[in-house]
Amino acid sequence: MSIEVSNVKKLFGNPAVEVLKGISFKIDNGKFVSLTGKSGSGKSTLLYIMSSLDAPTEGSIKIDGEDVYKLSQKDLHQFRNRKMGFVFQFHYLLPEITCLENVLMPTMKTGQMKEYEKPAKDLLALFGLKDKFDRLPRQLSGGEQQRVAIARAMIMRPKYLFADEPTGNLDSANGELVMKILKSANSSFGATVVMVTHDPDFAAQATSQVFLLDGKVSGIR
Amino acid sequence: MWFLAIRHLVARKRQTLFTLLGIIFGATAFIVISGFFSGFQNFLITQLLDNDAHLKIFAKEDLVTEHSLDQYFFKDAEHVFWISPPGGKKDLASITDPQGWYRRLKSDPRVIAYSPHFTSQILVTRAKASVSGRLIGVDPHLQTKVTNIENYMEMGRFTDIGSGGNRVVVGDDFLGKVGAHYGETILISNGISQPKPFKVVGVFHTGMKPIDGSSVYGGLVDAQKMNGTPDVINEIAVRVTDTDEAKFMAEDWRQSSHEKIESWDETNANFLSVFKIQNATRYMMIAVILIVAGFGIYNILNMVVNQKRKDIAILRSMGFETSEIISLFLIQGLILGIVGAFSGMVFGFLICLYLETIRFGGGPLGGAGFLRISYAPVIYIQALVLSVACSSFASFLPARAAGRMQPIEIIRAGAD
Repeated sequence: MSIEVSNVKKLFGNPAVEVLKGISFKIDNGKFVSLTGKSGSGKSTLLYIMSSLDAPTEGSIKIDGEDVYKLSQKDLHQFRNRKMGFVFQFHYLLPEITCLENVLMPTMKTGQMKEYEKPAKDLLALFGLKDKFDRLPRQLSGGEQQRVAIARAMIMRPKYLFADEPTGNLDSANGELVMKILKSANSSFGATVVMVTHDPDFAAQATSQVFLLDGKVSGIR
Repeated sequence: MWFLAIRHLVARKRQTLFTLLGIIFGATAFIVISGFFSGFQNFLITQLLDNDAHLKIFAKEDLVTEHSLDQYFFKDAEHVFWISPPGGKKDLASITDPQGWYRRLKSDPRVIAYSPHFTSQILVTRAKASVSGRLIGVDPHLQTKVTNIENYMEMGRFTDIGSGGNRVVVGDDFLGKVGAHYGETILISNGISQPKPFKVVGVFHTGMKPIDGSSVYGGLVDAQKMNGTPDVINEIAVRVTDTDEAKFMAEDWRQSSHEKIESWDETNANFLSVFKIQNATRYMMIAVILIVAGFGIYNILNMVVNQKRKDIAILRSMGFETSEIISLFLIQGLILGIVGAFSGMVFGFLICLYLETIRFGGGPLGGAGFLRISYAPVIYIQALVLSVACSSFASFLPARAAGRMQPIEIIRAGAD
């Protein structure tokens, strides 16, 4: 079981600019991988391609042996719902609903809100948000919001967790905290974590690192 | 997605309220305008049906022309020349076989009652004033079965006319024109005969100017006698069980008789065509109101969809499907539509209740006293269906646009 990236190319715009120039690598399940590179190196683009949100111009992504861009819409959405979690740089919480409800959003699709209420509370408590279940996102600090967003990504115990600059908007203390949580997701229930970051310190905390330069893999460690 | 949709609406209270107001105004306007117009129309139609016969059988006025007699007198002649050709009208139009008609009407189950008339133009004089009008000679007991004139009597009783003896019941406007009062005697002449005295034994007021201002009801025998034509009738008024059926009955009888037959809706065709124009105007007004309200919903939801691009992206990344995103916004439109429609119906109903208390004198409805408002359930059902249909359509377009948004485009745009 793995994420297999084979010969992925991506062109943008008109006239076309090749952002990714044929990338191939494989991430075994259970790993914590960081994608690093300068801005414009295509690392975020690669992450979205790997996570089924953006189709590549050429090449394929196989997750658990299945080409994600050949799944039917229904299967794809189910796959995202059950097996993937996303953490974005801008945490994107839904502003109208409370923290707890935000965390429970993915379970709403399957109608399991009730069953997941306790795990959601445990998760928030674990992230130090025990007394903020019923707060609205705007009543929280940036770091707290990001923790809620991670709790939301983790509520379904996804096999794959994709994070785009999760620490990008946070101070170093909150950044450390987020790294700790991501690492714990990796170690506690074995989620495969793929994280884009430009911070070399955080990148170094991953079990393996993929370096991108000008749309090509320049090194894997 | 109901949960999130409701949260969305509650989160932007002011926008929700204003959108709602648009729909409420639309639905209220629909209820009030429709209630007013159809109340008015129903009232007029009831008046028409009550005061006048549903069907009338008239003697046909055949015109005599140069060639009318060719067939009878000069069968073989090629040309017939007159020194002085016959001039138009026969001397008196009458129903040729009234007994035949009576038999026919009696045996028809669709006929409730009929009343033979002898109608003639008259001149009424009192002192130096003379006013022209119509004398309708009736059998009062038959006539009261055909129309509800008895209900509109202001003074006296309609049956006081009796079977003869020069007594008349007069419309109040007409009486005013003559300058006479209840209980006094007026002189009536058909223009040829010597004026004869008639006693005013009743006054009616139907609220219909043409009737109140010119009609004089008298005994059938008196009217025939004045014209010098005993036993002749020139009109039969008929009341039927189903007023919608009248038109077809008229059509039917026309096929098999010499007389001219008119149903109430044919007699009042110009009246009814005014209703059609009124209804068209009403529907246009309401359409405009609803379109405006619809645009309100459309604009606001469009704005909301754009504001919520990030939310849409995040929902998609959680595995929510296009259809679920569409329903998120569609539900909001539906809630607005349904809540707006129901509040509008309540408001409309209250305004209608108030309108009913307004005095409404004069005009063709002199007798009504108050505005007539219709509370027909169909108006309320229409208001509900129209508001909901309009708001779901208006929200469908933004919702579909939201459903089409691809998460990556939104995320990429957000990162730029």
